[in-house]
Amino acid sequence: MSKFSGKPKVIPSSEITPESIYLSRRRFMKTAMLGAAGVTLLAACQAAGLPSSSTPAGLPAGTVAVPTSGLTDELGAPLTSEQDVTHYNNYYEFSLNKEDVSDLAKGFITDPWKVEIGGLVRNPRTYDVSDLLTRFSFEERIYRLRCVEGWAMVIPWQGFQLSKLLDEVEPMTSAKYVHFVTLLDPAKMPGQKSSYFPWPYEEGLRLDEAQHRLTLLATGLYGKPLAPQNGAPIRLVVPWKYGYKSIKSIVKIELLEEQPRTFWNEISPSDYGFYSNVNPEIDYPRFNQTSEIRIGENTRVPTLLFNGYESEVAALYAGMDLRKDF
Amino acid sequence: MTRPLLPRLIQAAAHVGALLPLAILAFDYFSGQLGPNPAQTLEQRTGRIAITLLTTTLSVGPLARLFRQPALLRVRRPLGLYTFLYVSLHLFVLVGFDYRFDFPLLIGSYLGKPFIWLGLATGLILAALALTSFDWWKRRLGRWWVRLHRLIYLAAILDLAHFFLAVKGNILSLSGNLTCPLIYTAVILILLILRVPLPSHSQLHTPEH
Repeated sequence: MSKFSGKPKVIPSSEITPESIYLSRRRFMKTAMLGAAGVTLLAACQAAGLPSSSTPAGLPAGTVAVPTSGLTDELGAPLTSEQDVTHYNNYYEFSLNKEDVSDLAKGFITDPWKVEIGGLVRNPRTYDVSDLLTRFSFEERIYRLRCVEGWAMVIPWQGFQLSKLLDEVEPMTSAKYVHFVTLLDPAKMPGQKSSYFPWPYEEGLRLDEAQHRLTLLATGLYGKPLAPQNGAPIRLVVPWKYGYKSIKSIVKIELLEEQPRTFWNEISPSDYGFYSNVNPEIDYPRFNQTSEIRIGENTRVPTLLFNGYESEVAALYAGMDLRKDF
Repeated sequence: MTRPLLPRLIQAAAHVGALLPLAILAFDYFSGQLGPNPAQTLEQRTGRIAITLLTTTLSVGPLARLFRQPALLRVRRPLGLYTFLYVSLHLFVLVGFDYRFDFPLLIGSYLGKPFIWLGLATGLILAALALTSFDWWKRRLGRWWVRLHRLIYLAAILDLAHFFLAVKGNILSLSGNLTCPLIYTAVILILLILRVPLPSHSQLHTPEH
């Protein structure tokens, strides 16, 4: 039972999922279980009737063009507008003000861009991002993004599963964690001149989390290549964790035996744990995690355990004390 | 009889300066310019205006002494009342605008958060000072009025703690979004230090009383 409200909540009719979406949600679950790109199908069925989708310039074949309205996530929540997704960004490398990032990141050059993958892998190598775009089949994934500050979005990403890249470099059996690093270049990222932060931005996942089928390396959103403010040219998307885990503008991925250092955990360990799974039961000292504001709607909705991906990811944490390992 | 121009100018500037942020806030609200997350924007902006005005109120005494302008002291009470106005607005934005008066949700969300209690304590002190700010109370409380109103320094310290705990960062490791709270701390600290050697001579009486 959620602690969201003191009394049993009457669900307004507007929140009851229409049958068509409910049915496609079922279809989605089936395809998901088959291991296919379920979200692509969902996007495709809901886009039925709209002008036929074409591949936008700069994206590999197979990328679905996303219509800008009418789409929802698998729980029926509508997409956040492209304008808000690209103009409300927590990206401290550019600004502490979410509404300033898009302007300040405008001239950020992301081509050419190399991503180095090393550490405990059999085939360490450095990829050109343009190379990655042709190497892997791209998928459309509509994910909820829950920021630790208490706001949330629903975003149509394009990208590929991180697991595919990991398969290619072949992690050694000793590898237990994946460590990610953002570009360090204070000349291009003015926020990195601030000495109050332990630059560069670093994040980490346990290997099984990184290999999970929901874990995405995204290179686009809304059918377009990522804008600098959204983490161009390549970023992580881990939808069941607070947004800060989804590190942007990655230059290095490293497989390690030990749990890596992470940016926010280093700043304030009592606020930001290594796992950072979205969890309304765990009280952060600062932010309210029991409910969230959906950007563009300005209404509060209850926050769901694992951001609503519980059925898919809870098994990763079986037997763990989520209060201790938060 | 005409009063000198400078004090009147200062007084007008104080009122305009204190009301201007409210006008801008109202304009942004009604013209839909609060950005994608109006609740967070309003919470942060009203909070910042409030602590700025609180700091300004505290600086009136030292500035009056520094520039030998006892007339400046006339703006202290209105500035304090404006501070209370913005603090009330800050609380209202959280309770009414953001949480739509859903008290069970609010209590469930914030009961365990120290920064909320620090903010509420600041607000309570300022409410007590605002309520007793009238001349009637001043006459009635006499010496106690001065003592009571020194609580503004406590309010400032609690407000700083509230600010530090509300931003993303960590005061212990001096990392995170600390620039703003640190600037306010520095200014308030200076004002507190200036306060310590109380002037023994009585040339600094508030002119209106």
